[in-house]
Amino acid sequence: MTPLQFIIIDNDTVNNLLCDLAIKDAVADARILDFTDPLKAFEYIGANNESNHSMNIVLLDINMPTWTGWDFVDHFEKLDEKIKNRFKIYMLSSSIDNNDKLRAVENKNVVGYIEKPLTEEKVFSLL
Amino acid sequence: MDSISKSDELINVNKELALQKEEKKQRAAELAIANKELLFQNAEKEKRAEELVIANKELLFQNEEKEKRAEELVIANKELLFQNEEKEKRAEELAIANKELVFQDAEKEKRAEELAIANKELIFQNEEKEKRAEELAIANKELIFQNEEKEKRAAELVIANKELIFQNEEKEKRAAELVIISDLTDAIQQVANKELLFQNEEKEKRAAELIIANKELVFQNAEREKRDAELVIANKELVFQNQEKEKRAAELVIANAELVFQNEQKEKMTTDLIQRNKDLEQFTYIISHNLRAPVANIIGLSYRLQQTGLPEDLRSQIGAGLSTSVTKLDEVIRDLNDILKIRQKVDESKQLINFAKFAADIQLSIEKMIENEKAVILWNFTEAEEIVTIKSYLHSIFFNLISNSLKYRQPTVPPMIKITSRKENDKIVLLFEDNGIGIDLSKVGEHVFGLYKRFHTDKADGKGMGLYMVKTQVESMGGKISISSEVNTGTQFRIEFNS
Repeated sequence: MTPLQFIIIDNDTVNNLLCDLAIKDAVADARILDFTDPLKAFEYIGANNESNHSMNIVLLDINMPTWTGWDFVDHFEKLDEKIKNRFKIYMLSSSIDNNDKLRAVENKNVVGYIEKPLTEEKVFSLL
Repeated sequence: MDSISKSDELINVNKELALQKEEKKQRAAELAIANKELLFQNAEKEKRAEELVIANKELLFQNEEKEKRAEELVIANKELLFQNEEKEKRAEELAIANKELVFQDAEKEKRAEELAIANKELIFQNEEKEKRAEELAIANKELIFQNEEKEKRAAELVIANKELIFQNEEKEKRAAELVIISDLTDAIQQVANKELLFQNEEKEKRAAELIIANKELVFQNAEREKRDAELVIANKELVFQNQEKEKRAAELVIANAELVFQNEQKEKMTTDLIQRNKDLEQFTYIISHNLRAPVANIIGLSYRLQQTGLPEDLRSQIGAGLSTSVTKLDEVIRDLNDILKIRQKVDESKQLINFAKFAADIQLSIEKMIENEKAVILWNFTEAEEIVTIKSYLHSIFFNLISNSLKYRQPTVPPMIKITSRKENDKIVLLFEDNGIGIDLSKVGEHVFGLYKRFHTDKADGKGMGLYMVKTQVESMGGKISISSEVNTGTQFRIEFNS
């Protein structure tokens, strides 16, 4: 079985370090990819149409300087179903605004909402 | 022989008397005809007076109808006021409600116009009635004149009757003398004379009654004249009331137009306030995000620090992360302070600023930067040389836009910045043009002026504050800013100041 892959999309490198640590605590052999630019992450996902059957968990920040997390999800929506099926997107945000949580629940391309900081327990709950 | 000739003479006298009696009968018949004529004329006058009364009733009915219509208009207006208050309460429904109001106002204007037409018609009818009343007054005067003539004739008749009575008395005396001469004819003659006397007295009574009847007619005519004059006054009053009602209808139309105008103003204000509210909501949202982000990191990092047996390199990484997060938190708080200052400082007094001198001062203050980039700044402020504005804001606007142009320059082409002023419909417009790398607005769109928004993350050290500050400053002075750009060609900012 191919290992689980985590894709972290956030311009905040400190957050990405914390995510790294939390994921490694929870899933020792997980593959972790960091993107500080959502456009680069989107390029990566869009190009990922080969026979890579592994499941990807995307941890997506909302408030970023170029695309917001929501812009990213809007572009993701347009991708091929075969690609979309392999990526489970979770919004990972510092926001404690209930509207953000509601918006995440309502979006069919978003699986859930996680409040920062990411911890080992929160990673377990995704599995 | 004597007695025979006397008897003949007596017969002749009696014949004479009989002839006089015939004449008196004829005169009485003429008097009776004259009276009938008078009665007929009076009857005619009564008919005309009745027609006048009917005309007046018609006029009163029409006036009541007009009053009813005016009351309906007043009620309709009260209804309108109520609806307007309702609309004020429900600002969101204002647009729809206002359209409805405009439609209703148009309807009311139509009704007011119809009322005005009806009033004109009434005024015309009143004038016609006034004319008729005047004609009646003239006819009445004619009647009075005729009655007076008849009174004169009746008085003459009375005199003529008295004369007759006198003649009869004379004749009676002579007859009495004749009685002494002949006893036989005496008795006959006395009876005939008494009859004549009685007839004369009757005629005198009738003449007196006719005089009274004439006086009564004259009095009635005078009364009718008074009533006609009163009717004319009543007509004038009605015409005046109609004009007043027309005026009120016109005033109501004006009041309606004023209400429609006020509603439009309120709609504009509401739209403005909604926009400002959205801006503020967005600001609060961004700030809460950016305040919480370093805090979440600090929570995560401090949790890690509590773990035992951390490798040294990870421990130092966490320490660096903590430092970054705390610095970030401090930055956000400082930004927050700067932004809130703009929103507070709107009362800073405005002053007259000469664009050319102002631009020269700024160029001098960033001389080093311009030299390093080998940049050229050109300006032309001939079309609008001066502006009255808040100096510190204008400085920030110039500084941010110029340094943006230098930051996002094309690597191989020396930066060229053109600044021009213009006058458009009494408003001063500033244009900033550069030949930089530009920005794909189809991708970033409305985010360009957003707080903490950055589009060239690989370039320079921007933190996404500059354009947000410029926009906030322009808008806090009541102005507008817009952008147009083409990738690899350049960017143009257009600032419209509210004069």
